[in-house]
Amino acid sequence: MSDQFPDDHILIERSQKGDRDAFDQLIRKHEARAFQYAMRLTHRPDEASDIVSEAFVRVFNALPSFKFQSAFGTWLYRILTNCYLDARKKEKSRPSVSLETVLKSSDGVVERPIEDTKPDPMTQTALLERAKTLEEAIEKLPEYQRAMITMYHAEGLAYEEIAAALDLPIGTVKSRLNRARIALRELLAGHEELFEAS
Amino acid sequence: MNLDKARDFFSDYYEGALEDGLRSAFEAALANDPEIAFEYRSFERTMKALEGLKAPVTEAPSDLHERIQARLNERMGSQSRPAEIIVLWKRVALSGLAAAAIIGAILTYSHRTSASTSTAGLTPTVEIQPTRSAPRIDVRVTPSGAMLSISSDEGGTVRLSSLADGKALREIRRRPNETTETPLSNDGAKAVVLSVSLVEQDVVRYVAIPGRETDPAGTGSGSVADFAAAIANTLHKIVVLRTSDPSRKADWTLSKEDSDGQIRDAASKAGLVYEPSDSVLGLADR
Repeated sequence: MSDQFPDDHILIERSQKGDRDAFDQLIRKHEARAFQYAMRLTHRPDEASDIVSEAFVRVFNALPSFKFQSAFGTWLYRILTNCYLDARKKEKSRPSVSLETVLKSSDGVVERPIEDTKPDPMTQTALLERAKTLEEAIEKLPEYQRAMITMYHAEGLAYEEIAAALDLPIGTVKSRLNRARIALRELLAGHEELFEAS
Repeated sequence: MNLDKARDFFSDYYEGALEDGLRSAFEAALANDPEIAFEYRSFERTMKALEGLKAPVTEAPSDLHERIQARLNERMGSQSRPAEIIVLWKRVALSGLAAAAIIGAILTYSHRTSASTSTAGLTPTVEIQPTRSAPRIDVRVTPSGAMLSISSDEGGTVRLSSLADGKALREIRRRPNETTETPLSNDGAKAVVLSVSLVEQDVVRYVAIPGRETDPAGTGSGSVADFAAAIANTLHKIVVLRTSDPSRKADWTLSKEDSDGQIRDAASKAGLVYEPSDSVLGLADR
């Protein structure tokens, strides 16, 4: 999101009145962050772009009835999460092998940059290995848990924001997130040595 | 406190959010139960590992905006440039027609254009008739609201009436090879269903037009015309119904999430095919 754009409220009100440029600005303002979130969930740029595109189509359709009961960003997270869950449902009905998964496991390539600083090669290797292991464990979580972990730990959303995005009571968000973390702990149980020093 | 119970408190304890009494009980369990202590230490490492997730993932692709626009174009079925397709459904404000609110749907005016008149720049259109040779009855969403467009080789009478009470709202005489365009607006609170009839050609279509209010999610039963109205009420979209029997029974459950799947299921059970779109939805006899 960027300060170069007007406030969401203004852009939405103008969009609701049929202002095409305002809706275009709304997309431009939020598309990068939306992509970041989708990318964290999918780890596949094409799928992430698809999810973001679909999400903005849904935003376009639902915008006339948007009543500012939550922040636009929170609402967008909700729509993105639903698009992601829908995409996964469709994918499950079409058995396939992800080329990216094959590449990752065969040569260990991890596209995600870990840090801006340049640690020594040994440390860098350990960090990459740690990130890869964590990513793989998160990918094994049920989609809903993955979305919650991503929203809280990667996107930095507060419990209240996740509750608003997923339309759940805050207590439910906390208890489900706790279960997701415990599930993640179990998935990482065989890799304790990687995380000892962290 | 056993292990299962202790697990429920892992996050709250880690975040310092446990109340005093529970915190004391949890700490006693940590001190006295090696299994709980082992799991909690492992949980702490997981939480620390998760802190690394905040690193940026990757830049958005340079063509992301174009892809979003392309998807919008594709869904809107528009031939126009991306910036031109972004048009929101907007009700046409009407005045002096409050008496018609009992009917709900109001047809404001119509005008005639030649059949060859360009429609460039106009947006999402749903073609209601099944074949190219049949008369064309289209509904599309324009920047100023919904537009009913009728064209056919033959002239004749177009009759617009309220399906609920059969009350005629307007009759339009058409000459051959003319396109008649009529803005549609519903000033009432709830959706209404219009019957659009080409009298001489014996062609009838039904158009559900949303009103001012949006209904929450819910279930219902009634005719397929009621189903179309329920969709219009819940999703605030125009629904075009092509059926030989608008009184045929339907049962539905509708919500704003996954509405396409729900409509498709209910339509299928009522012998209809659902034609999803981002602007004007279609339902047609199977």
